[in-house]
Amino acid sequence: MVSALPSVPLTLGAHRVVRGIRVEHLCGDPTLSPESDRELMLLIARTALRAIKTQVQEPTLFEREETQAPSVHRELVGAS
Amino acid sequence: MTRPLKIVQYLNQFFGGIGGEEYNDQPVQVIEGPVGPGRALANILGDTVAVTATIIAGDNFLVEEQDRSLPPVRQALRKYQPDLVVAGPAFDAGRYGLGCALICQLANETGINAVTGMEPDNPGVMSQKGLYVIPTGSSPAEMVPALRKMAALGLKLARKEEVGSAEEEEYLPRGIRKPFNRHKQGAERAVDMVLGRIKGEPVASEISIRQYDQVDPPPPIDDLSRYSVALITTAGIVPRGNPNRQSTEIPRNYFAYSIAGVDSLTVQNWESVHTGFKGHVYNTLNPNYALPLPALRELDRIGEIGQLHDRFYSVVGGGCPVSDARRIGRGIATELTDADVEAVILEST
Repeated sequence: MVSALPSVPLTLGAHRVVRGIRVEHLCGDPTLSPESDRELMLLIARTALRAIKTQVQEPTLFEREETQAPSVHRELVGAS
Repeated sequence: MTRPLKIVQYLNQFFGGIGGEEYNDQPVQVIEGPVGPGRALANILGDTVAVTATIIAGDNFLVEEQDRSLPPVRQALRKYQPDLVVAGPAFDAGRYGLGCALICQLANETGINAVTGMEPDNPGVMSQKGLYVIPTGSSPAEMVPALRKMAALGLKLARKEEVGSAEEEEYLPRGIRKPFNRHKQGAERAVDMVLGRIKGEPVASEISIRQYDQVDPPPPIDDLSRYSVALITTAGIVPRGNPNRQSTEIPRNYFAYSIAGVDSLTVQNWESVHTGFKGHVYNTLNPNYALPLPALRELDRIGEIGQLHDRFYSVVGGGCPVSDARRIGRGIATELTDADVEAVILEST
């Protein structure tokens, strides 16, 4: 699963958790250029595929491997 | 020696030995002595208690034809004058659970104590108020341990002994609060709990919180290029106008929508009905942020996944009882399994 607040599903026992961007725009970032935003969404989806391909024993967080990814603007999230 | 206590047990057509689902319209019949699970119950109870009669009826008949089904049950209870009625256990069988609850309620109305057993999510649990229900698993393989617990509580009820709290006696909370004096203020009790924790002593919370299921992680899939992948979102993404009237706050159900031939969601055609996202990004800019369809189309095109399932599932992530969440999850999982989907990416907002 992709979650903007990974600590919640990890605490509850979800096995494969991918860090999303924000609750209000989970799989992308409207502050980026359309091209960078598209790359970011693809990277999140690929991270999810990597999670599905990975053996896990316990709740595990999968971070994006940001080598060729755009930097993501992070701020505090008002959870909903 | 005192006279043996008398028990009457209720069983459905299946456990009563009449037959399966095709016999669910069987009328009420009363048989002297124990039947099926009643024999196990009699063994557990020993010589001081006798299962004097067994009431058997078809699940549908008992619940749906109460004008005809309940009078013979009342008559049997008058005839046998039991000290206790034992209904079921029904495990996760919904209509059987409703029937057991109905029988217990009827017994209570005539002044006879009753106990039943069923899975905590069985609709029978909530169908009547104030019943003694022992929680069971979902499988009849647990018959004997379930009967053992029902017998322990049932004996107290039959002997009109005082019954302790739900926690002490292991029955499901009946929604009845009994005021009592803890003799210490809340603040003192909280400090006591903290100190207990620090000292490593067992500390019991005063509020019971239901445990979540622990599920084993499914094995990884090495080569996704051979499999179908589906998307689920909790952002309540629906076709604009919300044709199924999906709830905007607390999810009661799930909905599936076709994305066949769609490469990207637009705000003209799709919206999030989640009350938390009104006027926000998913509705004004880009619903794909809650359902990364363009990315999955791309991964499908370049062969990193076998294919993208042509329906996505939508629920509104909100305060949801565990039982509803489980029902919704099971429903989605069953449909996806039937559609040969092997992997799912859940967008959890």
